[in-house]
Amino acid sequence: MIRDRRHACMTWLVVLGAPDLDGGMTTEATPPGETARSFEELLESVALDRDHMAFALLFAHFAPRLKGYLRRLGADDGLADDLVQDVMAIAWHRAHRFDPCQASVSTWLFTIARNRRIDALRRERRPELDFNDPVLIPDEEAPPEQTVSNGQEGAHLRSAIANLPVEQASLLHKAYFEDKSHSVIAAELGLPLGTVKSRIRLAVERLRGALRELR
Amino acid sequence: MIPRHHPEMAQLLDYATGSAAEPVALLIASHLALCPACRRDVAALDSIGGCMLEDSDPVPLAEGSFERLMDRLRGEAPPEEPDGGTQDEPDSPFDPLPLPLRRYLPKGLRGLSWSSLAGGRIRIAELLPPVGSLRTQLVHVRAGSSILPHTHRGMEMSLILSGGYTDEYGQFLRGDVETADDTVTHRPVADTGADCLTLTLVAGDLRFVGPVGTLLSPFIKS
Ligand SMILES: [Zn+2]
Repeated sequence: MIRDRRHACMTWLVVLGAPDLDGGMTTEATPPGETARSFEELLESVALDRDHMAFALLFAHFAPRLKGYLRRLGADDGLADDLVQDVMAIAWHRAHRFDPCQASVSTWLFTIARNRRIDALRRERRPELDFNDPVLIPDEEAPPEQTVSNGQEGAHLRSAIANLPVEQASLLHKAYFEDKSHSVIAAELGLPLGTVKSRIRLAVERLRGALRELR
Repeated sequence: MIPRHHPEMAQLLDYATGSAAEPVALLIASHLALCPACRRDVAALDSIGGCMLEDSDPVPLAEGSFERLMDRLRGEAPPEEPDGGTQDEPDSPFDPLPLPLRRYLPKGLRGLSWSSLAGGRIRIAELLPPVGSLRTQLVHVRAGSSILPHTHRGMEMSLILSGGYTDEYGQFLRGDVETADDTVTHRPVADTGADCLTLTLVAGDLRFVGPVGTLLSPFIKS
């Protein structure tokens, strides 16, 4: 049964002439007769129906990007491939815990990849907040009612990042892609720590404002 | 009760990007359980990470990657859910600990090895082996007792878990974070009424200020 579905999925990918799943796929293939589903809907199908087709589409989009992210953060080619496998395996197993009210799919995968990288490259545990923690102080600000789709959030945030002053944007790029803490970045750039801290605060407040407009 | 003293945005950024050392990440994750405001900040920082991932240049995968993954998934049991940490200790004098911290305490607070100072008015347990010069400690100060005025050779960062203390910079209660460096001299005094428990990270030694402090044990009763 599962095999059949998987074959069906591979078939239409071939029929559509989609670039192979292992390469940098540039087009988002859609099966015939199906309207494009959002990443959130695809992941929901993975959670509820163990939908191989949906998983293949998520893999085609995200796996090469995950590899790009991990390569930039210092994993060599072979290790990056292995870590991508781990990240997507975790996504498969934990799909039921994905909550579209908390995060978009790309954000969710980012956190999985970050934690997997800390575990594998630094051999450290990653302490994580747990929303089931009995001591959790609930948020009195109303949680967002409607979910924010990956596409909406991504596009909005991307343009907000693009509009940041260049010195703020470059700090964020260094922080996310070079595994450097803010104090290391300050030392490297020869900037006072206070300057780096205030640039970070300004940048994040601005981006938070952009995200709030969406919700 | 909502915390009034928070980690800096730059520290939350280090947590979100993954560059924060494990002890700092532990302190921040524990603060997040108690602080909805910082949870919202970290959610935004994670979204920025998602956006950075989305914008990453795709790099071609090894041949047959998807096939290999599906083969693996067919034979693989789902990973265990993260553990729920130790149960609360029913006779503990402290407020219940945040889950990220309890995951580091398989035998509870009592399972740690505590050293007593100042006639038992202060007790300290090392939670993790030092990371460089950074030590991770649980510090228990009896109600009304104090730690001598001191400054720091490096960073000191505390999360108040139970009770509270007051120093030159204000009153710090459950969930509050105080960060100090070598420019800061302070003399924390535990509030009366309840014992104070903190998760404290110290880089380098404390430097005690004044003729008495330089001669005595760092921790004395008030
Ligand atoms: Zn906070």
